[in-house]
Amino acid sequence: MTVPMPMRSKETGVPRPTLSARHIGKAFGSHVVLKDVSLDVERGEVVCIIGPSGSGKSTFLRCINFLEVPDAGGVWVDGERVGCQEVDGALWEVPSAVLARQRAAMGMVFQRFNLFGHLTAVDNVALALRLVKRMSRPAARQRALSVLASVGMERFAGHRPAQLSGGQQQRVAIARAVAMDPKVLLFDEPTSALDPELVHEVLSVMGSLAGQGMTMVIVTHEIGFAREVSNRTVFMDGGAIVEQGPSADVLGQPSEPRTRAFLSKIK
Amino acid sequence: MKSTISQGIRDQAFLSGKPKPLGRGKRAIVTAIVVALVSALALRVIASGAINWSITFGFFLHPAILDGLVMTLELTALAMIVGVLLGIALAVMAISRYPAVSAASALYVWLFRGTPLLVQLIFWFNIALVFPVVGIGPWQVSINSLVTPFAAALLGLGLNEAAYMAEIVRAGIKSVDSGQSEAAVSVGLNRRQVMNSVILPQALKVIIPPTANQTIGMLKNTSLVSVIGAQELLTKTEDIYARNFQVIELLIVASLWYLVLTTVASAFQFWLERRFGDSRAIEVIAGVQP
Repeated sequence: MTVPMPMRSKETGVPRPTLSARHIGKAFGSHVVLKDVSLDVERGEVVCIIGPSGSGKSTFLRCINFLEVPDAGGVWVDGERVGCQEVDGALWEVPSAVLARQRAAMGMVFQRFNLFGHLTAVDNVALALRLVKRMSRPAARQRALSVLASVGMERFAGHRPAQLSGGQQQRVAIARAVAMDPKVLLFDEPTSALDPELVHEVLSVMGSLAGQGMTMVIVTHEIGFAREVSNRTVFMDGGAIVEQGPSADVLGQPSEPRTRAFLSKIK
Repeated sequence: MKSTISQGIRDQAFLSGKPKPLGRGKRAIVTAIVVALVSALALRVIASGAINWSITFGFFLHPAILDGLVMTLELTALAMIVGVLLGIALAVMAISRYPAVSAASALYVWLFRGTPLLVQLIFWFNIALVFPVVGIGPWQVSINSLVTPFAAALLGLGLNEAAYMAEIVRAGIKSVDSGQSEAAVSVGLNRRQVMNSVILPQALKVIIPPTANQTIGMLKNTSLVSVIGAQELLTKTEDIYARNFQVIELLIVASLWYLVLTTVASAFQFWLERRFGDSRAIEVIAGVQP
């Protein structure tokens, strides 16, 4: 299947999107999870994806960095196709080293934090700096400490994940992703596993990242956060995008009845 | 009616406090019977006159016995090193993307767990019957000179152990949450880095306790190599009683030493498992400080 390239022409000077996912399709066995989902995200843009559980929003996010391999469509980051290459008119996986490099350019923050349980907070952040960015041990540590400071976690640098609250773990996880200097940050329901009183500290870190111009795609149920921080909100249902637009519009005056029904349920 | 019943309970005087357990008397009787039986048996053995205890104690620190003891410890340590390293390799092979590689691992485990260790030891000792010489081009070595009893013992014990360690390591790897490897690949680690820096260090928590068990088993299994004359504790013991015919006395010497070894190893295992409350210990042991 051929997919039109998302590039906007270099001649016109219009910048191509930082992230472009085109016509993504995914099925697990006979269960179709994603049907032809496309999303372009411009540099510095913050996009929230909302929708009922089972709508395919998390799977879509995981397809973007190839944690799930999409069955159809393609993903481009800064014009480079992720996970695939065309050779002699056929589509092949890229070598694993190339995929690793491409993934390093996309930060991912998970619902369950997934901090490395055997490492301290600072080592969680420093590990990929050393192994992937090939930084020296002291340099990686220094960078890790400064990124931890930016999420207010420098005091806990020597703590292990088990010694931290959920909100603190998620802030370390965000630092781990940010430290790699990614072109885009992907958040998969970053506050859904948190006790209610811990949600705010994570959202405020995410808000300040958005304020610094980080390109972000956030799967979330936090409607208030989506309205205040994101430029655009995408409502997904049944494996497809139902409605999208400026967050104030989609969340304020949704035009689709399904969006309205969903919003009225979670408010 | 109800109100009068609860009224009655409230008015009655009652004893408070922890109730005494039932069956205290029974416990004392059972204890007495067991102690009587065990000490009668022990007295019967010790006082039978058939065992010359002075010979047992006389040989306890005999130089030949101590040599055998050292060899037993060497064989245990080396065979466990072979077993652990090869076991890790087999476990990683078992979860390979390539079906041929995982099948090779399964075949190995099937073969080495499915045949008796004693048979494997004798097989390795006689391997020269299959391959008389090995070598490349003009450099040929006779297998007989290569496979000494010690080498055959190490080969047999280590290769057999690897099959069991493979299963233990595989269980350890599977015990690590899949979110760990997802997080690791999402920051750009490659497959080898994910395994070495994220999965294996965390799998150790699950791998180490059964490995300590295997080591204790290995201490005793080394006695099997006496059939091929590796100079470990039981071989040395047999050598002595073949000359002086004090079979039981010498077997008691060997048994006491095996008990010392396994008791010390068990104490170490207990310490090891208690230390696992603090995951820092895992890194100290594994040397995987990032």
